[in-house]
Amino acid sequence: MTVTERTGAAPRPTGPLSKIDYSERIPNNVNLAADRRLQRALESWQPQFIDWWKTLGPSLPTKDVYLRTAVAVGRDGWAHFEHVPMEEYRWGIFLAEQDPDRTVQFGKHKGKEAWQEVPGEHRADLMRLIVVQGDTEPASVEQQRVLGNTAPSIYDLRNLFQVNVEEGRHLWAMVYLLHAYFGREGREEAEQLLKRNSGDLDSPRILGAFNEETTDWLQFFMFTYFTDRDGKFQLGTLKESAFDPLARTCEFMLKEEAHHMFVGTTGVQRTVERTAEVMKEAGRPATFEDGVIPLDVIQKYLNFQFSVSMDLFGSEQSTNAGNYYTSGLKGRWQETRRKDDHVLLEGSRSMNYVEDGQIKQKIVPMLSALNLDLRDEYVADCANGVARWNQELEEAGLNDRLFLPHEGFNRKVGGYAGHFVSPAGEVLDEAAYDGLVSQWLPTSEDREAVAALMIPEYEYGKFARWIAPPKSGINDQPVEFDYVHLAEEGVA
Amino acid sequence: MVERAAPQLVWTREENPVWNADKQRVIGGAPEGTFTLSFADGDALPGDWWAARTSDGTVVGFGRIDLTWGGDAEILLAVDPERQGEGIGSSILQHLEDEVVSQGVNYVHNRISDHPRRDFVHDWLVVRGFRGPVDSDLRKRVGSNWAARADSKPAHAEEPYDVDSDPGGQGPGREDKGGYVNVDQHNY
Ligand SMILES: [Fe+2]
Ligand SMILES: [Fe+2]
Repeated sequence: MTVTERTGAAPRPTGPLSKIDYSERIPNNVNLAADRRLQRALESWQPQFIDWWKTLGPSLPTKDVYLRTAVAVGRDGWAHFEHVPMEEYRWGIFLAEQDPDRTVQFGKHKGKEAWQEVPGEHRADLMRLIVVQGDTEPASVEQQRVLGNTAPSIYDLRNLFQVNVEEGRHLWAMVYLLHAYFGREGREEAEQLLKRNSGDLDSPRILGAFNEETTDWLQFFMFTYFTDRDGKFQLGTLKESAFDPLARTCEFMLKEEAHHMFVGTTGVQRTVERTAEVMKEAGRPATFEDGVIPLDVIQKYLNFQFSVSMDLFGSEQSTNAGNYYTSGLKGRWQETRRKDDHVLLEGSRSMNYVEDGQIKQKIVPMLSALNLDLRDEYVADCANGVARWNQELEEAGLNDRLFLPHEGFNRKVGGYAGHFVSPAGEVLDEAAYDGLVSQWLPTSEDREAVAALMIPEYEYGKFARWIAPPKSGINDQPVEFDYVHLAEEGVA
Repeated sequence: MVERAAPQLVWTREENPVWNADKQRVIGGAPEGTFTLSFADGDALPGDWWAARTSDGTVVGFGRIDLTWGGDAEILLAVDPERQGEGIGSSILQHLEDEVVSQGVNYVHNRISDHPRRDFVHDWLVVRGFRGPVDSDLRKRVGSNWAARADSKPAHAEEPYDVDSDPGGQGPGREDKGGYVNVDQHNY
């Protein structure tokens, strides 16, 4: 097989691209070589990162994996695909191309030039936003480290590893900003990002939800669909930031996220497809005995991952979120497409809250409800995938449908915390809720039964029984392509 | 600083927090970090609020958690100026930390750079486990201590990469092909 066949199709670039320098130890398009001090600082962080990857990255031993690496970035991203040993993946620093005329689009600095340096008054806030974002990136890698052992196919295994190496790169992206713009304090925070570890009792990841192991592939797909998407929406707000290096960093991260979203959407879709097939054939609900995941269990996984991802947005109303906006640090989702004054001092909106056992509405200042604004955008986006999944059911001629639970279901954060809201949106008392919750959230028996289906399938082109194969492979390669070489093959 | 034993306080969540006379008396003026909006009596307040009351129902303090994306949790705590030094602040802090933990968050932040007695407050917080400079962010691992772990290994071997002779370059393409896709064109 020739090199070209092995690496895949090669369309021409369509936009201006800034090339990434791979002759450097740390590949980058930020001219790192011109700043020796920064380069040395990052080079001393690099071995700690590699060490972290080896200890807490994917645990399944592999020889190499067919991965994409960014070659150039700009209006478009440009990737190169080849088999690489994962620990030799070229993690690097890639920012979308700079627009020299970029201005601040919102808040009190609206219309002024975007910042190339961090203004003193916003230093602490910006650093915190970057640290919080940075904390979630490696957390998911840590949570997913054992999943390779139960991959339903080599194709899926490759997609898992692609997501993992890129979440690692997203950590690099945040660490670059900390090192380049926040001095000694930034370097210390960068170290902490590797010292906080998922599930570590002394220094856990910031969010509790990021400290729980991802135990099965349905959960992984749901995580990638709902929780990665949550990250995508946060990146979307940082992409609007007045602090230009942060905006450009996030813009390129968002291009990478496209494939992560694809992995989640189609992973669940293929699971539903297989279950629907069995239901259609048998003319009854599928059970675990059929070797697939019953539809009601898929719904429970959906309920769980959606609700914990909703918590990630924080309280509906937040002073800090308003401050971040007014200061220009963090915009709204698709800020430039919003048809308003982009200052929001006058605007208001309605929000739900629970009082006397009922869900009521109140009008609140727009500026105070930006967490909610982002969450609403996220929910609308989540609904698209659910419609796609339901298409599988419809095509199989089934009447069953999956749905997003009510925003108040299973919430620990914000106005719904401490209340007992059903997936249909009824406010219940605690006893009634407790009696029904096993129908709504995965029980330990459900999780065990799902785990029992998770038998690895490492034969090229074959798929575990519970999931349908994809329609096509990655980068125009066939589905049965040798996307991953396991370590045993290297030894043989 | 010597504190008397903390009084028994009744800790209640405010379902629909508004600016009112109790807050005016205890917090004084507008709440900290009020951005450009100012609050009048009856205005809804952002964040999650709790009131600390003595057994006779008098409000002696407030606690607030302001949570933004990703578990970025900032706390505010205020004690009635007439009731300082009685351990009420410590008690409110403990309650707030419990609430933060119940929301699934492992760290809390506090910002005191604009506080008129910031050095005093800084000491007070440091004694209670917060770390960070007085003029920036103070952070605490809720319910535990920071444990530093440092180990490092040598860098891996490097290999130059020749972009121009790259035969497998893959443009933006589509997400199902594994390509990079601008957020405006995401299909999944
Ligand atoms: Fe990421
Ligand atoms: Fe991602």
